Amino acid sequence: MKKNFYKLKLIHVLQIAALNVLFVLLFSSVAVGQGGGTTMTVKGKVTDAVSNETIPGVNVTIKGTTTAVATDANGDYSITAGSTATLVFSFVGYDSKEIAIAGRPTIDTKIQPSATQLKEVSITTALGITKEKRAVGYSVSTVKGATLTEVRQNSVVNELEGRVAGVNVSGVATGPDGATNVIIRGLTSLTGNNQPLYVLNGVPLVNNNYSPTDVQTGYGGRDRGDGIGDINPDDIESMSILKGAAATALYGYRGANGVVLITTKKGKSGDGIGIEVHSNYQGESVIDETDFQTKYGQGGSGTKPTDLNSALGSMESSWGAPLDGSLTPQFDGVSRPYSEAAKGNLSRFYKQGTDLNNTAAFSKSWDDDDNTRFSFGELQDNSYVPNSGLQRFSFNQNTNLKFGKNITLALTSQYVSEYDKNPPSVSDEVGNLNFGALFLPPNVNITSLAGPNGNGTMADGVSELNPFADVYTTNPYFSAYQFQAATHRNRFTGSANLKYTSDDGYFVGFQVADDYTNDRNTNVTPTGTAYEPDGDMYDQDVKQTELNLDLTFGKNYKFNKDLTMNLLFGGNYRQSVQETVYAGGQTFATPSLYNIGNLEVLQESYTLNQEEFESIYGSADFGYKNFLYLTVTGRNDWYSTLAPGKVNYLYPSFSGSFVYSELVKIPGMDIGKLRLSYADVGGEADNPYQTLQTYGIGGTLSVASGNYPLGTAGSGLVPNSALRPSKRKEFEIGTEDDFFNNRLRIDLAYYHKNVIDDILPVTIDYTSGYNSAVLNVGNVRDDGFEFEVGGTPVKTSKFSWDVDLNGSYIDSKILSLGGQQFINLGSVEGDSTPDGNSVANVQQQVGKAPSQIIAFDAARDSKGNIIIDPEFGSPDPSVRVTKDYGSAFDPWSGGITNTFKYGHFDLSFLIDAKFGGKIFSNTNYIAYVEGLSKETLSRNPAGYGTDQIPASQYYSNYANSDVGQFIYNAGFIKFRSVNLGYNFPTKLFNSKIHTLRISFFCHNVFTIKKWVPNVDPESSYSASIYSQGLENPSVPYSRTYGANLSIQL
Amino acid sequence: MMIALASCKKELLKENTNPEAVNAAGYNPNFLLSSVQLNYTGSPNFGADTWQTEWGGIAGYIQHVSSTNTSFYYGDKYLSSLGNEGEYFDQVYITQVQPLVELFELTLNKPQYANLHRMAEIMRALVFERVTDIYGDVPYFQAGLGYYDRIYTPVYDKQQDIYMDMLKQVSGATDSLDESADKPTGDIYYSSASDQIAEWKEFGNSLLLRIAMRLTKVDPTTAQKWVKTVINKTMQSNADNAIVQHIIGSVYQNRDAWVILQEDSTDIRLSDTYINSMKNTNDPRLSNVAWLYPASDTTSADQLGMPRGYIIGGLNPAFDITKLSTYPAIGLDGYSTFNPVILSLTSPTLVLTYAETELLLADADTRWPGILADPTTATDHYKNGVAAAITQYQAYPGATTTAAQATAYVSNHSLNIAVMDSALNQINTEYWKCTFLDEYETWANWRRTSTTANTNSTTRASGYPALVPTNYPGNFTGGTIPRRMQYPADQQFTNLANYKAAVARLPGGDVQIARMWWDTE
Repeated sequence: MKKNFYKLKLIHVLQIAALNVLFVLLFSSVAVGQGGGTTMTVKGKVTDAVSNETIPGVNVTIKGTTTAVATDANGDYSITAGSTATLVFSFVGYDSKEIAIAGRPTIDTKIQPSATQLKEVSITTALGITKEKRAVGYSVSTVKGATLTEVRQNSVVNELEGRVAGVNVSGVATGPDGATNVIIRGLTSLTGNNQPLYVLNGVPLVNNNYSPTDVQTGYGGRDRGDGIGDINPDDIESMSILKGAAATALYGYRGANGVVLITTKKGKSGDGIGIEVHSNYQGESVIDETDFQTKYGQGGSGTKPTDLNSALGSMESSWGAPLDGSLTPQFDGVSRPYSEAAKGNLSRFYKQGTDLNNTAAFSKSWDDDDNTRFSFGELQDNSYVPNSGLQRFSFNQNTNLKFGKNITLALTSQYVSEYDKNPPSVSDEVGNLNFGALFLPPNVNITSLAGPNGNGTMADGVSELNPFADVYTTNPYFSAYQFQAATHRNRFTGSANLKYTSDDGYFVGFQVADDYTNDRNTNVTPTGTAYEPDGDMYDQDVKQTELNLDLTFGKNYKFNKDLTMNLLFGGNYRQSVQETVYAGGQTFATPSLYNIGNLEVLQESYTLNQEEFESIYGSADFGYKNFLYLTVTGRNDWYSTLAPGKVNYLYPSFSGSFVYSELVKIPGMDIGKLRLSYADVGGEADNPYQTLQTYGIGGTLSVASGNYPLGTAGSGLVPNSALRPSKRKEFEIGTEDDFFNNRLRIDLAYYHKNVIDDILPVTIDYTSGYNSAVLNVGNVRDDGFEFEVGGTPVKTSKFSWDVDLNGSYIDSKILSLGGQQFINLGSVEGDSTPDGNSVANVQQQVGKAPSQIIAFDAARDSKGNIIIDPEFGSPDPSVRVTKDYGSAFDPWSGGITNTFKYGHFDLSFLIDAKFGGKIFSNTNYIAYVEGLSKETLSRNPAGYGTDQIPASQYYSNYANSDVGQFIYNAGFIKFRSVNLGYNFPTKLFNSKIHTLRISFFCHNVFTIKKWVPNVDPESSYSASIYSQGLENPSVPYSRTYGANLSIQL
Repeated sequence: MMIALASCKKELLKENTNPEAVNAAGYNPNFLLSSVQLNYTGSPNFGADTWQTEWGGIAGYIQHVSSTNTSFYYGDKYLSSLGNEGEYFDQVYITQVQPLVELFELTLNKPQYANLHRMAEIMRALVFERVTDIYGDVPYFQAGLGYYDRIYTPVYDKQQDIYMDMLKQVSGATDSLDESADKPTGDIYYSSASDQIAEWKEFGNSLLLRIAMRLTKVDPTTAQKWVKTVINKTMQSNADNAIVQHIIGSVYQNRDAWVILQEDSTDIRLSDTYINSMKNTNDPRLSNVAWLYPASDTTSADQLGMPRGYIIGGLNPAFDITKLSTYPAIGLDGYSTFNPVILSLTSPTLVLTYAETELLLADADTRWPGILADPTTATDHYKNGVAAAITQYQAYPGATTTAAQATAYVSNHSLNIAVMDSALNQINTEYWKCTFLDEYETWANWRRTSTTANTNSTTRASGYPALVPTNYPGNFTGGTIPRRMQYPADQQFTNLANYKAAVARLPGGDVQIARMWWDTE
């Protein structure tokens, strides 16, 4: 099955590649083929790329000669040159630019202001509209592509961690294709999706994270990745992060969680043939955070195993005798020395991972409006998780064409083909390979679990060699090598954008964009698995398409020399369709034949989620005299997921900026700007079909008197025919100030945000016939402060030192949940709790910050001391009480990047930190209960209390009474990454090679400070809101290191 | 583009309907009637509600069964088990009331579903009679209206109001059933009968009789008024019984059997009261009801009921069943348990029967001589009822009771009509046997028939038959048989104000010995 798939996929990939290459070659030959090598006159106009104003005095030189002219007062030039020559445009304060004449008599061009001066820097805002930074009345953070490629991770957004104020990025410990949790300025939805909207070259991306099992219960499952993880970092030119409501207002309901705009690289002109190659090679190895006791071995009640059965029964118990080196039976009947053997188990079980990334790009530009770039990327990640990996091919094409002087056409396309092999099961999921590896007793070397075949099977090669008495703890080798799971993904994202601009400045544009993803998710619990000997499997095919049609028109006005107005109107139609076909079941009729047709019990299902949205929007930008700017936007949305018939809502936004440095000259200040904005945007319902009751049947009773289909109405959730959008109202004030010729850069922002009418499932009384109702009742308030300070303390011709510091603080409080006091999110089931209840869970609580961690606390006396039951000598777990231990989210976060450049060398490193949140660590709870924790070392062989209860029970009573001891400060300071690069001087290669760069890097270098023992504080097992703050054994922390090589020809 | 969009909008934007699901307009509400009728026989949740409430509690109260297990079978010793007592309440509103409300709404004012709508009204009374008889005041008028009326915390209605409304609704619906209107296909009880509507009229009137007779103690005037209206309109033979057949499959099987046999067969036994009662009367049903499992012994004479109120071991030998001289040598397996003839995964559920209807008529005519004003006397109704209760076992495949056995039994145990108390005792003891497996009904009828005329001090509070309570240490009723069950604890979280108001109306609060409205002293 797999081989065949590869063949098909390769053919598919080659076809697309061939089409793209053909397209590029055809077009370039047409474009380049014009004219000959004769002398001709070239005329044209040079304008500012940002302000669109003509520039007099620009130097126009024929490359390789001294022939030069300058533009006149209207920005026009005329020069005589060879038809195959290249023109060089240069002017103080602007980047110089080269354009091949290629036989064209007219070459108009735009030149870009140099990036070093704030007052001339432009930024990308909503809908890809480029604005002068001074005119923008809200906070926008920009990250350059180069930042994301050097210290590379499989999902590009992971590299944003610690780099942007107010953007809380956390990777998930779920393997090579794990999702990323990105929350911008706090939660917008208390129980639903909080991930931002990613927009790739104007195409909204689908960012679903399909998780087949129930993360709500903390059960875990396999993380099959999210949508944003598919992007090849080498294709990214820059990312703009729109944080506040005013910044995202033009995206309406879709921008409620913030927007990340991704711009891919365009074709560039240059001396060479336009080929660039990036190679990245990295190694990855596990970081063993565990520090368990090595004094006592496996066993119970202070005794070591005496035979096979007692060894099997105590594999999850390190309450044995002191290690004495004597030969002692183990789970497989073999006697081995009763001495320390478990140190290094993680390093023995997890392998050395390797990750190879290659991108080759062909890039060509003929003039400003005609360019193309085509790239091919390949990723091969052989993960450090055994038998797990990720393989990804990506193709990216970005072409801009101009027809005549009025029509432009932009075509972008991206094709990704991905194979995610055995994404590891995490958390409480049976088959979690990380579980068994972590908690082996101190005298057991994990390699003995590999068994005679090295894959955790017994001699027959099929049945699980189960070293645990509990069949639900799977042999980690069996999990790794016998369980089979895969996600095969094919994704095509494409857009075409046609724009007509009339001579008098009116423009009209039309864009069609589509993002199509087909995932095939498979999972096999093999024949011979201890907890399910007959096996099971499922095969799920998910097709997701999102179509966006956008029509925009407008005009830029200049009323007089002081007052400008830019008008834009647009309409968007969006259709999202998700279709899931599922087949799965139990019991393979022929053992070890893993095929749906071989299942004795089979269930199938088909679901279709269709959503449709329409929007119209308008924006007016007013500018007065270079220092006062105002933007007013309005957007009206129609939703199919909300109240039928009453589905349109109008959202306004206002933002203004005041460049006070234009009026008041402050010594040393280059520019000073104040920003102010207010916006009101709506949020959609996460799921369709919540407004009307639907009906079905749940089987048919077929008896002698007839067949009776059994009717069902609804799903236990009261549909809400009056569902409204949730609302996010946000006020923001900020300032951007630049001093000493850009040597000091300050950006500060404060915001006050209120989410009201959040759509929540509210528990209602079941005598109403339902367990919950979808209601618009959530109300959350956030106040936040963000700062980004950049400086260049040292700058000489050979040496420079740049430092960028960012930080943010957020204070969030849930004001209302519609009459109820809390909503339960995820929980961690405690295997050994007396009542089988969950030991910790997460709740949204009125009056508290989001995601409060709730756990048991022991009964205490009036002084706060734990009450000791004299019979047990320990607290009595049956009288424990629940307690609230604080929010899972860190209110404080920040990072600092230092970059040094000396000649051709550069060195940069990032240190980032988060503070103030809490985490419940189930790893530490389990290690304590099983006698692995060092806290359990003082064991009294005579027992405890008047009942003389054994140490295992004594510590278990402590663990289950005072569960709060396993809730830790989740904060950390990490030396996140370091990168050392060298740019070879191009003259070494006689200008045949234009860039040759080599760099070395390390990621997760070391943790400077953390408070959680035995695990990394960023060990979340899911990106879902349901599991934040809960740690449950997942893929252990790792370090990557490697090298990059970049060549431009 | 906008014009094109406008046309799209009509479909999805205005409706938000799942193209793969059916909406109300296209749905056949008959399917919902099937669901309600099936779920009334036990919860779809593997039978958890029926087991925990009916078998864990009620069947022990009324001494059909015994158990030495104090946690699952708390009813044997009148222990408190909030979660288990409330389980029926917990489930019924979701699994029965919700589809009933949908059935009612989807058939409202629809001529093509005229009879189906009437059946919904009758089924509603069948469902709620059981709930209110277990707990007392319960949500009724506002129940199940989360979707239609957005009522999320329904008010608990007074049992009296519930009863008055049920009488009105069942009577009105039964009278309105129309031979010329629709013949509902989703009706598991009678859709294959030759005259479905006539059967439903008899079913409705028999149910009306049962509801009316519940008011024997509290409001005999109303009871008699309604009894008079059903004369000659109730079920006429076992062919009229409302029965649901079961087949293998988690949703379809006999859910009592699933939990009792599959999960807890070792913990529950038939009680000595029940076995002895049948043995003493030489009841032909005994060999169909009971067997000794290890030897598959169905011989009546060999059957041994388990005494009530005992555990195995424990500190107090007086309550240790193993210390009894009668304790079987082979242990608990030596006590009789359910014969698979009447309890297997495919055993039918008898919902409402001719036999119990006849016994109620006999009770009415005994209690209020002449009320029936027809030629059939109490004696005849008694004979019909007892005989039918024996022959109705023929609904169970493999049952051996015959018409001849029924005739013989009736002639050997004729009604002593001369002494009213003795007659009522005889009639209702037969009812107690007849309604075996519908434990809710047995318990309700036993409480209905309790009387201060009972002079025996130990059974003073007892109805018929006179049951001697146990007095296990730590029981929650002071050694008396519970009169109601406690509401589930979660009502204090999800519907606190209405719960409190209901509890305030209960003498003594939310306890098992509090007496509900119709259960007067």
